[in-house]
Amino acid sequence: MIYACSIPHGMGEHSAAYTLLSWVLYEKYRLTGNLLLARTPQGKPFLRNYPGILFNISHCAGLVACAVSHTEVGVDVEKIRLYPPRMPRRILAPSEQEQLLKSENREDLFFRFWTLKESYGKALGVGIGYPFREIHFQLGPVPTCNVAGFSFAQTVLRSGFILSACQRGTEQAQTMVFLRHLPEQTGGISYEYEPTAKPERLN
Amino acid sequence: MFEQMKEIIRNYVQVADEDIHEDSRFVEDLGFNSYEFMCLVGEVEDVFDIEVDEREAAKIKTVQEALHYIATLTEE
Repeated sequence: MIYACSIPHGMGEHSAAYTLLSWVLYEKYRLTGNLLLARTPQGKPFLRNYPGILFNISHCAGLVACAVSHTEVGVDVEKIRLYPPRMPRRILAPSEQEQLLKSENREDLFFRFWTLKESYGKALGVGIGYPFREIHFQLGPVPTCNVAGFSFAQTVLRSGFILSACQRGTEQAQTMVFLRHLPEQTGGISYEYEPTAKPERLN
Repeated sequence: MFEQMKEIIRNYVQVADEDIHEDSRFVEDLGFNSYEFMCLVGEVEDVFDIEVDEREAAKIKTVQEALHYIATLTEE
């Protein structure tokens, strides 16, 4: 399940992302109180005491998204905008570069590809640490790619944002929900990092 | 090379030149997200005529580490 919403004016993006996560964890799993966060060797945060609940967050230009699942999950949100001319050959497979050249809306298409690739890397827990050009996507109502064992979902949000998500498994469970506003903190959830885990920059 | 790197960094994040140090962390100190960092990687490849392995790029946390990585590739 993926949730997205706008960030209240004056609130930090990172703080908003964890507020959204807290709401999901309470509403869906009834988690409360202080939650211990750990990090994988690659730096991906996870709930130390709830190995069956996996999450990922993303934020960009006033929008925040959160994905929660029982399996590895990645989410990325980006605002559609101009991209550096070198970026297509940097991150797109040849077939994707061909599609881009033929497109009448290249910025839209570029960020569709980028967010899918980023969501895949985040699901794996490696972020950008994999060969981006070796995964190639076919866009459509349900994006597919040449890598087996993962499912994808994508939607274009209002005001020109693209939201993509990736989940390990073939189960098509990628329902996306856009909330009208950031829910209030519920469940009294707070986060604490394990001593060995480096804290993220919290706004 | 450090001056070149600072110029490249400032193409993607709003940070004063004097606030970029060799020990500056791309994410925590300079405010890079993944997309901006990948854009930086692309420009570094063009400027220094190198090819960056994404798996190695993902390990780079500071400006100093980036400079060291570039140096290892350009010395080859």
